Amino acid sequence: MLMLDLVDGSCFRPGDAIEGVVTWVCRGAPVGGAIKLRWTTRGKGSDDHELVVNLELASLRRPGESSLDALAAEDAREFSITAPEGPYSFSGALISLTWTLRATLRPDDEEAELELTISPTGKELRLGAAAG
Amino acid sequence: MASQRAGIVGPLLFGLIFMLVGVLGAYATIGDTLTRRAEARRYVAGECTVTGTEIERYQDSEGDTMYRPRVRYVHVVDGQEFHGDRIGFSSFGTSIRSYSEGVLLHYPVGARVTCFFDPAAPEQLVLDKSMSWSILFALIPLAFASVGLGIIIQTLKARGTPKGALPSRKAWRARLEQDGELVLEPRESASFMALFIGGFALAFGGAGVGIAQAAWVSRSVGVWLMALVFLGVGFVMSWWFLWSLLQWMGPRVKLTLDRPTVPLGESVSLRWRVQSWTPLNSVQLELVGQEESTYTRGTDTITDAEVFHRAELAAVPGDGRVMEGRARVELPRDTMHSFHGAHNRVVWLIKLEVDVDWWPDIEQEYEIGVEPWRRKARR
Repeated sequence: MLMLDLVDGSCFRPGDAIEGVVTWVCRGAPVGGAIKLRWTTRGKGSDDHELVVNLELASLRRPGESSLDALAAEDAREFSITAPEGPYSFSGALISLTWTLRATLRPDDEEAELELTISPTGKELRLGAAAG
Repeated sequence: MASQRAGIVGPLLFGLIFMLVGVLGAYATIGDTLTRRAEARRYVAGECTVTGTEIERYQDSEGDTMYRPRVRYVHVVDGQEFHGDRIGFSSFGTSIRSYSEGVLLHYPVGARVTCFFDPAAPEQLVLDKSMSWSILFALIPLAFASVGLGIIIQTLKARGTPKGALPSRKAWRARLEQDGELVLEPRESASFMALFIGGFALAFGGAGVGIAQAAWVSRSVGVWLMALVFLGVGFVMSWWFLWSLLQWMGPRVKLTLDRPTVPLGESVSLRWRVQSWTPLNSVQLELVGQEESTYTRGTDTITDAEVFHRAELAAVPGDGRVMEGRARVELPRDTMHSFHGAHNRVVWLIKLEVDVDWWPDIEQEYEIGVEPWRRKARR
């Protein structure tokens, strides 16, 4: 079981801290894992995507602890990522862009994913809504 | 971000392959003919007697039936007979049998006709040493070479364009002049369009003239029809080429920004100047925000566009042959910045429309780089 929780909702402005905790319970200690922040476009055309942040779980601390410990079968790690300057989350007539935060564990390939919004308004921008 | 960066190697390679295919194709079409024609300069005229004719029937690589005229003739030099079977230096077959029949009408069996031979090697004989109409078919592969050259020029011109999710501070399809001015460059190069269209005009027009000459020789209705199709397409393409050429040679436009990129919620000063040979009727400038999405359907690559923001920057009535002015380009705050994915883009464009007297009008787009909103602008 792998869970991804955010401290303060899923909507962010560029420069905000995206803080949360990833928690897991496995049969054995995982050999590794990561938290990945990426954007993806969807729409009429072919999809584009880009991995922007990739944090190895082994480089993160347990909540409330200051030392780095090896990953255990039942464990939790907290993380903090600065919301990128862009691209913004938006939705238009042809394209929409979404941000996702994904946690993965190896070797079981367990995944947990959350959809985020990153924009200066803290909401998904709607293109064309205020077209001149 | 590197994965999103569309390299120039692919398009350059594509252009080079097009050029190579075009040049090699042209050489394969006429290289041998040109070499033999160069040798034929030392050929002298003689008199040959036609001993036989036939229409050779064969299958081409796709299994279609083709026909080629064959003429056998004899030439006597100092009492010695030399036999030949070449009509010209190139030997092209066509799927139209009447073409071969038309050619053979000029060489009835028993007729004494002018032929040409190499005095140093009298066995080298030919009936017609003039440049064959078929040489014009070399223009078709040369059109590929022209398109390839156009792709290379376009790629090299666009290599400074930043790609990526966020606009770079580098110049955005713009060049920095010595006096510090940032001059915007149009998205679509007029010289590329002229080369592209010109290549095809040359190919279709040249092939049309060649086929018309063949039709004249053979008096074949089928060949005339084919010539008309090629000439018709060639005429339309030539007209289009002429139009593109006039646009390229037409009024000079200069759009200058006071900085390379502009954040959302801020503005940038735009200076514009249009100089023309003929009177200008009007100049219109507008700022357009546009989504662009590229996808493939079958073998076609399609790009759809949808405007999400439009604002007039200037609409000035005609005033002589030189017009200039300034406009303030204001970017709204709560919208999308420039975004360049591999297949999806959000672009901000300055659209220019110039109505010109006695000359093709100008419609050009200039992309500007719009950065995300800067937090300090919140104050």
